[in-house]
Amino acid sequence: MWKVLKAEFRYHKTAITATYAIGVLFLIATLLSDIMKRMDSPMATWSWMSVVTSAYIFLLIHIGSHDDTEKRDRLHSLLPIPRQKLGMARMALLLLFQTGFGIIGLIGVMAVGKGLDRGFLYYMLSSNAFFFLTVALIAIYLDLGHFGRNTYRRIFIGLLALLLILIICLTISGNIISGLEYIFEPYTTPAGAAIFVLLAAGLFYLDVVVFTRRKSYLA
Amino acid sequence: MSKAFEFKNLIKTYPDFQLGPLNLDLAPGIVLGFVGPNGSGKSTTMHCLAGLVRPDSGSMEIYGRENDLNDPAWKFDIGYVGDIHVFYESWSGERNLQFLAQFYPNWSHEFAAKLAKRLDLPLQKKAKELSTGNRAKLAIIAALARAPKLLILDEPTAGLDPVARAEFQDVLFELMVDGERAIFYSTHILPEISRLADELAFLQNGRIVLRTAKDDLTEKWRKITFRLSRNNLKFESVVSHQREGNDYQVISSDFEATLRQLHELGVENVQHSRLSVDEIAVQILKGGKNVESA
Amino acid sequence: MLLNLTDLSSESLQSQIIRQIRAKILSGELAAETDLPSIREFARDHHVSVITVQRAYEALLREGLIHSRRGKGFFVSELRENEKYKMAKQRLRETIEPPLMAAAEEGLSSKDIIETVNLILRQKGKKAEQEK
Repeated sequence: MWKVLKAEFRYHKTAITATYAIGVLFLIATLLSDIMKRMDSPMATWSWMSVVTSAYIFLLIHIGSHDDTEKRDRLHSLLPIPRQKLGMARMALLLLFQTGFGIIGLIGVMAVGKGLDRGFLYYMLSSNAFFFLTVALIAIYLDLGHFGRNTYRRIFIGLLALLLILIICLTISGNIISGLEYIFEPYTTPAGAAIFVLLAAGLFYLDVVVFTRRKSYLA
Repeated sequence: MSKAFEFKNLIKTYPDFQLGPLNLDLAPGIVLGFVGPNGSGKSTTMHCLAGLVRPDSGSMEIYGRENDLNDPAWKFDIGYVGDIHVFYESWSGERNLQFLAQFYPNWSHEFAAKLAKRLDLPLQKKAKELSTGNRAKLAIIAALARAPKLLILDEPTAGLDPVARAEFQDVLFELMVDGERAIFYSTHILPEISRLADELAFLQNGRIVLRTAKDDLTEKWRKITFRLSRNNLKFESVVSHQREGNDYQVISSDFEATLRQLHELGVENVQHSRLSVDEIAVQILKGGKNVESA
Repeated sequence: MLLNLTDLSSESLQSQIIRQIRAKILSGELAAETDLPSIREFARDHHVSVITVQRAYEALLREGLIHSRRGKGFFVSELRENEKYKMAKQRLRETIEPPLMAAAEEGLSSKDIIETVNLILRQKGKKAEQEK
């Protein structure tokens, strides 16, 4: 499993280095500039974070599309590695990227100094977990396409749609269950953060299961 | 020693096609040619064997080990050259081989280098810059450098120039000398396996229609021409015939039986000639064809 | 041992192998007790399948031209001169029948055919003389 991870890192090192370099450079530039003095520090943090987030999304798409065109799943599936380990390697790769991303964010926030309170830390954890679970959802959706029929994908999208509708309805009706209310004030509470992290872990595991059960690794 | 591979009632279903139930095995020391028209399921069979496709039912064993995707010890024994070759495209051939070498304890760098020389493949070029033929060469080296016991070849010489093809044949003949390895070779180009193959399996519409020793075909099938003034006769072991007036040309799957019958009928001008493996395969896969004229 | 095997012959590869080895044995080119290559080595050297070689060797075993010793491989059998003579004669008869029949069908008489045969043999004799 580690050999595969190392290979992926080495293969994409230019893109990875560039992305994180952009993050670091932009952070330094932000610090050196006037923005800090002129804006509320959370706003400053947010503007810087949005650039980094964009760069990160770029990286994920770059790696994803290259690996897809080059049929990476097929190459890896031919190796004498247990299918489950391979599934974990894929998710671990995403997790490592996310962690790097999160660390940069944390450093950025600490460097800015102001506005750093517990709530903000939980916010960092929750938002990273939320980002990761979105990526995991995409991975699951893509993996569900390799079962020979569309049924699973349709069910999955259906469930997501239902969930979305449920949340929207609850929000509109003002009748939010206390737990959800708790979470959706930007997730600055320990419980909220914990739930997001657990969800992220759950989806990590779910994708490994789905990948392991795929009917085809030809792509 | 256990069989190189063994399929038991393997089934893989697609919306418009079903492979199987497939029962096929291969003893070590044997080269099995896998022949069939496009769409008959040859590649699917090999995908299942290599672990790229999960069959719907049935079992596969390789050198006695169940083809289990979560317990890949069986993969150390196989070298697969597939219908599509996959590499880290921006890496050189050399780097790709180094990557693979980490996973196989029996990998030999010297063998890979020697083979690259024999096949005239520049290992420093990036995979994406290689021509189709050169990609095939890299895939072949990748499969052979790990000293596999079972070679699974799915049209491996597509795109190879004649010299490289000859070298590849040489390598395969050399591999078979120790008597412990096996080759499962799927191809449309029958001359490639007409000498190498010990046995042939014919696949049509997802089922094996014939499994036989190659020599049983080449020794027994003949094209026979003769003159006979009678018609509407049923000929012994004849799979197809053509007639022009009193001149007959038949293809027999057991020429001695046919000749005996013709001798009894007092037939004249009997001549017989060999058929190539190609011609025999076409007859087997097309079914008999009777052409009458005049 | 180097044979001349070709896909372009009217004979199957198996037959070519049998015939050529037989010829070498009967002519004395392969002396008694000479060891033959193992089946697999032969297959590799001549680019034929193992089963083809196996069947060829089996045919030669049945004809008594070769014998095998456990674990040691295959060897040319010791044949008395008159045995060789009988075999060669039998082979001639089998090989010569098709072209003789074809010649007869094309209208040649027995006299014509024998004349031609003598002509050929005389030429071979002449060549042997020249080589001396």
